[in-house]
Amino acid sequence: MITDILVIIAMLSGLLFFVATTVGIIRFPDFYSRVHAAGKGDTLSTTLFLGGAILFIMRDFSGENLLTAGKLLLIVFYIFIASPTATHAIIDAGYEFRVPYWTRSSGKKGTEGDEENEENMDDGFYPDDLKG
Amino acid sequence: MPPVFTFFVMMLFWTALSGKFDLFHLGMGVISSGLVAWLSHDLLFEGHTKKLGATFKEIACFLRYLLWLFGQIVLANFHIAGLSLSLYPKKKLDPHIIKFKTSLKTDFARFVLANSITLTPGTVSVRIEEDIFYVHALTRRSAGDLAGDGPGEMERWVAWVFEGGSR
Amino acid sequence: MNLEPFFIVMVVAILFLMLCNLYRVVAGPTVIDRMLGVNVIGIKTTVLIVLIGIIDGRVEMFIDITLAYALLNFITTLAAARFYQRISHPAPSEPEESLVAPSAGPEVEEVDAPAKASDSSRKETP
Repeated sequence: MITDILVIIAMLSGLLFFVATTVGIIRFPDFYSRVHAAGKGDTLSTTLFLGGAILFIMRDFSGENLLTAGKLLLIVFYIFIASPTATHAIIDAGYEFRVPYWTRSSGKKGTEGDEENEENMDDGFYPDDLKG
Repeated sequence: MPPVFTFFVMMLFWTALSGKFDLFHLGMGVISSGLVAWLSHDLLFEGHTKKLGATFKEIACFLRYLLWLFGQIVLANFHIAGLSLSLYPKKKLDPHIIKFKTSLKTDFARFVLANSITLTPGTVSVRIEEDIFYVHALTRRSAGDLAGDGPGEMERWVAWVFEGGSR
Repeated sequence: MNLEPFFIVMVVAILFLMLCNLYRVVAGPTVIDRMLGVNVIGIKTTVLIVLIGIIDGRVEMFIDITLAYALLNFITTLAAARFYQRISHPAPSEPEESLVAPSAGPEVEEVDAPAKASDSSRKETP
């Protein structure tokens, strides 16, 4: 009974962070901010969901269930390593791709991340030794 | 690090993934993980010269560090949720890139530091060039932790885990 | 307590969120934005497969699919990111030249040459 409530709490909070991630990915103004939402939200919410699944499986204890829970733990550990690495690869690719970015000053001019605002790209954004 | 250690790690993975403990499956596991350990034992622990006891101590320190990191991830998620679910997120955002020099020596420690930066509130590591980190910060306040001499507390943690520094 | 309806609600909610993420894949201004959306959808799929396995009552079978999917999603993202990084800044063509017209240097150096060239170009291109 208590385990069931814990499962529900874990999965609901995981869903909350999934919603936050999705809303962030849709609403944030430029690519770099979206990467923030994707990289952080997914790690924790996947952990919460799979943790809830582990609790649910371990309700009836047996050797086979223990093995399944171990595999789930393996996936959690793997996502902990892989998700930030994938995020880093994506943002590094975008950085070399010269993706247009949004700052507070360019936002006042009314530019959106969704528009093609090449002319708003400020070269000062890139550190000097990174200019191609 | 001898190939035997690689063999045991591979064998552990095999038994966990296959889930069968009869003679046939375990024999196949011994053959295949022995083959992999023989062919590529220098890949898993590349350049790892520490003794076995020191390695276990390092793993214990790393688990302790993961616990601290998990707290930071929860904070980061509340930060992101607060930003994205607020009415006008653009009023709170102030993104910019900062750059700092790290004192960590080994590649693996830098990798862990970069991943930790990605998982802590408001910062994502963009690029590492030797010992210079480029970090994209979402708000002024989250950049404030990094803008000084370095990431401060986090770098001290990583140095404590991998290079025996004081915390 | 029978949790099956709860899991079904969770599956439907995650599917709806994936549909919302599909907006970023369709409307993303750049290729990298689309890639980010695909990566996020892939991570949600990992969770989805586990939940479907729980509803189906055969988690021990679905868990292997989940593991393979998580690995594949990570590799896909990494490969696509590296690919677009490469085409945005084409690497210098020393490796190809050494393949077409092998120099008279010793064998060992020639085997190492492409890896070294791509490594140094990786550091210098930005």
